[in-house]
Amino acid sequence: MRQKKIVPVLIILTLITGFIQTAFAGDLVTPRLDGTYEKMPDGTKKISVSLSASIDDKRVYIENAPLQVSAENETGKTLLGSAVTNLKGKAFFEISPGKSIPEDKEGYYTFVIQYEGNQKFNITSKTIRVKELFMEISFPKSDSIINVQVSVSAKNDKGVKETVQDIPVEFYVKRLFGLFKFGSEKTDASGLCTAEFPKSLPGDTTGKAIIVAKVLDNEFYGTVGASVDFKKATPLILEPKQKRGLGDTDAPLWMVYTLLVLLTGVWFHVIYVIGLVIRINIKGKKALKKTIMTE
Amino acid sequence: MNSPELAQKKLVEVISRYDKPTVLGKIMFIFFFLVLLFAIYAFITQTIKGQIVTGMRDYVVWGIYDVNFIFFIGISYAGAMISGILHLLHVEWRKPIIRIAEMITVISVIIGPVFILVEMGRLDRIFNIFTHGRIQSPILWDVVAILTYLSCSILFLYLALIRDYALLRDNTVLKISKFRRYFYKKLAATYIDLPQQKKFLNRALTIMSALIIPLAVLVHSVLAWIFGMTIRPGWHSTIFAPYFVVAAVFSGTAVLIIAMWFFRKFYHLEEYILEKHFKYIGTILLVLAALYGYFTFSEYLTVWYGSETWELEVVYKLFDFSAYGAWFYLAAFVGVLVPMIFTGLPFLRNINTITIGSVVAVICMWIKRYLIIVPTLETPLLPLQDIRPEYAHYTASWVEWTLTAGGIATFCMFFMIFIKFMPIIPVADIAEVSEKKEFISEKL
Amino acid sequence: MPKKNKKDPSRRDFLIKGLNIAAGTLLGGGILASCTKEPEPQGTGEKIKVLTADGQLMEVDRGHALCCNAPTSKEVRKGISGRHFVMVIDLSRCRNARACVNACNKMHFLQPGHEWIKVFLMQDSDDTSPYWMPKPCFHCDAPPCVNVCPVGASFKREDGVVLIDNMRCIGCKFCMAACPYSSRVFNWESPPVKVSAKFSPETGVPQRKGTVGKCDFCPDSFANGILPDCVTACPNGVYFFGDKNEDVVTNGQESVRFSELVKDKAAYRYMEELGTRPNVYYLPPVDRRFPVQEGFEDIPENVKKGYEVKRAHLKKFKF
Repeated sequence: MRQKKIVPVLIILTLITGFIQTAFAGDLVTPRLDGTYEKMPDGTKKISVSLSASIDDKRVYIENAPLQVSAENETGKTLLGSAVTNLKGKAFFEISPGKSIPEDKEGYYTFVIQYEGNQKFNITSKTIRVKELFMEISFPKSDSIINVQVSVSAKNDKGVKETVQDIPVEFYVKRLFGLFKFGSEKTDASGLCTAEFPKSLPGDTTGKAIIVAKVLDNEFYGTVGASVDFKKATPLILEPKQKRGLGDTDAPLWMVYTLLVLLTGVWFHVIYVIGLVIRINIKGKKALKKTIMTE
Repeated sequence: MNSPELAQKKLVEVISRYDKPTVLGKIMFIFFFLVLLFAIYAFITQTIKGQIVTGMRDYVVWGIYDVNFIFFIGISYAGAMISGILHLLHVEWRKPIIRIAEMITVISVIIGPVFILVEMGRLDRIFNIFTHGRIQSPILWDVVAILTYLSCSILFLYLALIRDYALLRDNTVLKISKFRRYFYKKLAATYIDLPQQKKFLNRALTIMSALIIPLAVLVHSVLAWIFGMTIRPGWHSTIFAPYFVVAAVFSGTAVLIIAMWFFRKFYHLEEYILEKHFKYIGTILLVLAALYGYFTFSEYLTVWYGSETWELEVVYKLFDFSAYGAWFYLAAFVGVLVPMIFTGLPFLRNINTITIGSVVAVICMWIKRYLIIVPTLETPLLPLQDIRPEYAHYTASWVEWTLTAGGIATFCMFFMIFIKFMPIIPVADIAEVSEKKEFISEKL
Repeated sequence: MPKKNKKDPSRRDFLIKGLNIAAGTLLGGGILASCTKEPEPQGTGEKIKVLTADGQLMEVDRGHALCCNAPTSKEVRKGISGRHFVMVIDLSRCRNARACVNACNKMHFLQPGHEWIKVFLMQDSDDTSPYWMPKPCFHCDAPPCVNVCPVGASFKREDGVVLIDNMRCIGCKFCMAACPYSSRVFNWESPPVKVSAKFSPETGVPQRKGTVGKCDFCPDSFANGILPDCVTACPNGVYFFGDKNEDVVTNGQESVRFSELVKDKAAYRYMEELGTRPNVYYLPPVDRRFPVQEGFEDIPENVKKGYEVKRAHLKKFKF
């Protein structure tokens, strides 16, 4: 059974491989390596890589390719790890928040992703140079509206945190299927920016909502996110669930009663009639006994 | 001549008329049995391959199985209405025919639901109805109503049989096998015509005949509600329940007339089932045909007069000769008018014409049920698009036709088996009547 | 391929927890892979992409076959509390690309002719112009199909989803007759695609002979914040999906306020007059992005035939 299903896939894979082989018989192709850096709200740094090649003006993703990720600075190169691309030519690296990464004099991280190549593809590498950005979300008091304030800072070359101005920040609230954007502002001279949280947007039943602020695709900082629990959103009021109804598990009471009354009515009579038959039987037996005795 | 002796004499006379199976009877029985076997084969095919072997598809989810179901449940009205009402009204002439009527009831209430079982995709899970039943579903109402109705009609038939069983038990003339004698003895419930026994029996019969009428009405109403509770054109109608009830009594009465004709002819009961019985029941048929015609007129006039898209589409399908027109006019006009003419016009009225009228009525009623179910299902509220073209229309497959034939064959076969165990004419009742007055004479 | 999952329970947990499946191809390396505890089993074959909570593409095994609550469990009938799932379909964006239909068929292992989503070419009256209308199950709040089910095999959950337990279904087809939108399909024969996963009403997989199936809104992926397959598959962002209680719906690319969207664009529910209270809203086909005729391009011949079925729009009778 299982083999049956694997067979067509294998055939497809073979066909694809065959196609690729015939397509580049002979010369080596230089693949394209794309990479993005993202600092997640929890501090995890994530590098997403996509490996592809252009063949006959069509983008073909290279799967199962080994990639190496390392961090560079003036003193040298530290290998962070390796990964293999999936069927869509993508690979993801996650670096946990506690892990120290070598940075250069200006405070930048330099990530180098390298693909070793093989008999079909050239060696390729991609460098991502980013600085770590720090974001904090707070809720300054105001009368009738809810303000969300984000302060953005980064380390200067002395290693001291300094506010960053004029950087666009997007404001989101987390929903079940992704983030909902409610504001987009640039930081002012003090590294602050504020957006109004829509009061009509409900939180959960306790009034909790997760607010996320993001700097998107910045040339110096990559994508950076921060999140915080906001507890004063409009609480969600759930309607109590109807217990009995046409579509519910339990029937409406009148239905139950009607059925019971009807059934009792009918079956009472049926049982009474069966009782009459039994009485006929008994009467007959008694009478027969009497005749035998008198005889 | 005193009563028991007269009764015994009658019993022997009646039973000996048909007890010995004729060659024709034997051939018919074998034929019916073969049809049944073929139907079982068809059912096994359907069980193994799934309902893909039927003509039903995603739009027309119910086909002639449901038509047969309604048809057989409708027929069962013969016993309930005719014998119940006539019993309550103490109509004396009913006596020779009530047994046939009650047998029709029991047999058709057994066969009808089988079609619903056959129609279900997962018959193996039938007991989920009892373990997970939801009172909100009209199907559950149907299950409860039909089971109750079946029990009550069996009980009703049995009560009327007790005195005959007592006669059979005491009979010394007829050749009765040991098994049958034992069977009669047990079922006769030691009935020896004591005054008190008579009183009890009469009371029981009165209760049951009063009970069986509302029950029968309810069963067919519930059946109509299965359709009426859906928001589908042609079904979602408030008069559906009474319409179904009238249609059922109409077809039940017609089947009773046909059965009377067959028994009279092939079981030589000409002396018991008289022309007047045909005429009386024919008059009832006439009234019911008129009533049924009135309901049909009312239903389609109302729908046609309005302008709702979907309702009109169904109605036009029925009116148009390129769709179901021919069938509709046959069912709605011929099926009503022919029985009315044959039962209503005195110079046309005789045993054979009344029977022909009934045959037309029964066939047309089957067609009418088909026209109630299929055109509505072929009219979904959304466009008939993005589907396989063959899903749009329904044509019954050989499996469905075979099972239908199997149902009719079983119906006839059951009759042949039933009369082996119960006198076709309620002898005890008739003996009682003829004791009072000269019953069996042409004068009456 | 799903067979693999049966044999490998650890893999099942792996998916249930919704751990970084995306990172599944990681081979290791000390500081990497903070949450991926084991490598993805090799040889499972085809993969599909799904969209995660923060807009990430994830890759999981093909099809809804691996997870979820058993039909007997309480959770499956209760649903996710505090949620009320709704779908908004923007008719102005639909061009009958059929990506939704194909994705749904693929993910639920449906055979052709058993589509849970249908795309209709609607024309409201003779003078108005036609438009494409995709139709999943409407997951009504007053579902006629649930009302009539004799065994409770169809049920309405607290989160608004209407599901079918095809282990309980007796195949009476009453629900199919009762549904005014013809949203249900019947398995007239054994499905040709065999899926060896355990059935859950939340996945709708595998289908069984003699039982009813229909669109289920893919509730098995909700817990992981993954959108239904039709939503992610649509190239034009026709489908918006979300939780009405959260008041936000998304088509994978943009998130919008549900209440504002339905107000601003004058959304309607199909055949509101039936009183079934659907949870699928339609945005009227105004300012359409594609000409209707485009919908007939690049669709297979057999699908095209499905639009040629003659409906008996019979001539009016003049009596």
